[in-house]
Amino acid sequence: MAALRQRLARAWPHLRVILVGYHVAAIVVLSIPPAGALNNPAMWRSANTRSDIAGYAAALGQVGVEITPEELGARVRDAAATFGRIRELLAAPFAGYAALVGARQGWAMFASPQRVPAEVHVDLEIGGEWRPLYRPHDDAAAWRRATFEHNRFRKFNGRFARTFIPPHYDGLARWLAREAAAEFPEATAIRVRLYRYRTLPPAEVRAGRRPEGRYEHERRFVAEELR
Amino acid sequence: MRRLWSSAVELLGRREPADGLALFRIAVGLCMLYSIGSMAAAGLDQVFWVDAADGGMLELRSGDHWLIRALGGPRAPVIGALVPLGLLLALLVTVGAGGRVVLLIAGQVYQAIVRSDPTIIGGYDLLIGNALWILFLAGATATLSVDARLRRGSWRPAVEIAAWPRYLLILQILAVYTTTGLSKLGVPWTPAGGFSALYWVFQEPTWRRFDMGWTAAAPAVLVLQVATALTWIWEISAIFLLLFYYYRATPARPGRLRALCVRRDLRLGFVAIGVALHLSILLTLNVGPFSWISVAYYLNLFHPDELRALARRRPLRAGGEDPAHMDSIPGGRDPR
Repeated sequence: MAALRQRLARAWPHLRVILVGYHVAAIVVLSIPPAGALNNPAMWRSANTRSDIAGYAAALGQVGVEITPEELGARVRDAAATFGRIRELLAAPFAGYAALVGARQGWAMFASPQRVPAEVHVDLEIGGEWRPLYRPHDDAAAWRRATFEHNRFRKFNGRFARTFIPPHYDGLARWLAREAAAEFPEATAIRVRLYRYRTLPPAEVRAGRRPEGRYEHERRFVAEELR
Repeated sequence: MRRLWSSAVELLGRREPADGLALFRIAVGLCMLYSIGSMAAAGLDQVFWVDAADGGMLELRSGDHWLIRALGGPRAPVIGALVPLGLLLALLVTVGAGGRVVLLIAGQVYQAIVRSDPTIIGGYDLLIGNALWILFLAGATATLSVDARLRRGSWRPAVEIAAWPRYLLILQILAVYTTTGLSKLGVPWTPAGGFSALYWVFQEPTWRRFDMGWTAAAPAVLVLQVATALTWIWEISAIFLLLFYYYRATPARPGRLRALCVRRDLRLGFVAIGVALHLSILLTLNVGPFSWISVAYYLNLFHPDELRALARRRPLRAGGEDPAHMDSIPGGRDPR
């Protein structure tokens, strides 16, 4: 037993190099953006990504490389798919370890700032008239603002601009409607909509223009059915 | 190759005072406490982390962690038990009670809670999860802890622990910055987009704390363009800070950059930009405890002796209190 212990003690420093090396490799490889993010069709369809590709196509044009945004987009998408496949191969030996011990990586933050944001708006129908109940950053419609301004709620709502997932939006709309119906007994209906607009560049803001948007994904609920 | 291996063995065998990692443990515990506590205080734990079948907002199915699956999925009673347990564990991590077992369980319970709903996971969740795993490996309750008081009769006994967990935490935070910089492929981060990224970030309603329309004024736009370029370059180049440690461990070798690193503590510049960046984020955007946990990782950039010197406002010596003590690198000298 003592001999075994001695052998283990001698081997431990070498084993430690292997284990730490494995962890280092896991950090490095898993920090590369995953294929899921690169191959998300909704991401490629988003106004933001299309704007990025158009911007790069224009920049290439200025240095004499003529390419349309569509051609560039197709090439970038192919390259991203290949990159994603290689990344998955590299990541395979580490994924289980990272998930088990909590060494997951994934650090794409503000990778492409949102230029076409979407806001969740909630309205109440009282006496046949619609009244705004909640608008982000609007003191006149600040129902449950503290709740909606929690960072996790912000993250959840912010996703609708980038990758709209219908079941998530429907879940949110129904939950909002249920809460509003319970809190406002005088309300006859609740309406949840997504207000999407293009953020104005600085010059247009300085010229006094205001962003103009449109409503999407309207969901209406009869209050009585939710109580 | 044999020499490199021996160097690695020697490097990972290093030990150092335990109080640096203990400070980091306290910071991580507080961030965990805030992360779970703020959700519970807002009543959102039962909204986001519980399945629609039990009154939650979304159909979460079984969650994205083995523990939550083993407990039967994100049902109301499961989350109702895990959230208070998570808060208790965060408290124990902060005060350093329960040794490695608590650190291990805290990491698993934290992940089980936040991965109940993977749609609202943030970068800070990953940083907290990574930190708890390394703190467990390090046995980070050796000092500044209830454990130390019970076992050694002192809150702050002079004990040493392995140094390699701190090296891993340095790599972790530098990998975060560099890969987040490399992920910033949106055209506004580049000259082609006029380095306009931060302007757009501040206009987005999702994260900003208040109206940032004033940033459209010409002088503000210029400041934001400089800040965008600085942020992007700083993030991408963060990983090169590892060179600083290498150069400081091998001061006898030639090279201008090495000489500069030996003469000047470039970490302080890195930390100054990082703190300014995170302070700006804290003031203008609501991204949860991301800035707090990121800055907490900065503690690991310094050897515990250096942290003491900083606390006493003494200058940091090049070599003698080298943070990573990487003098085992071939050709390097022992700084002590």
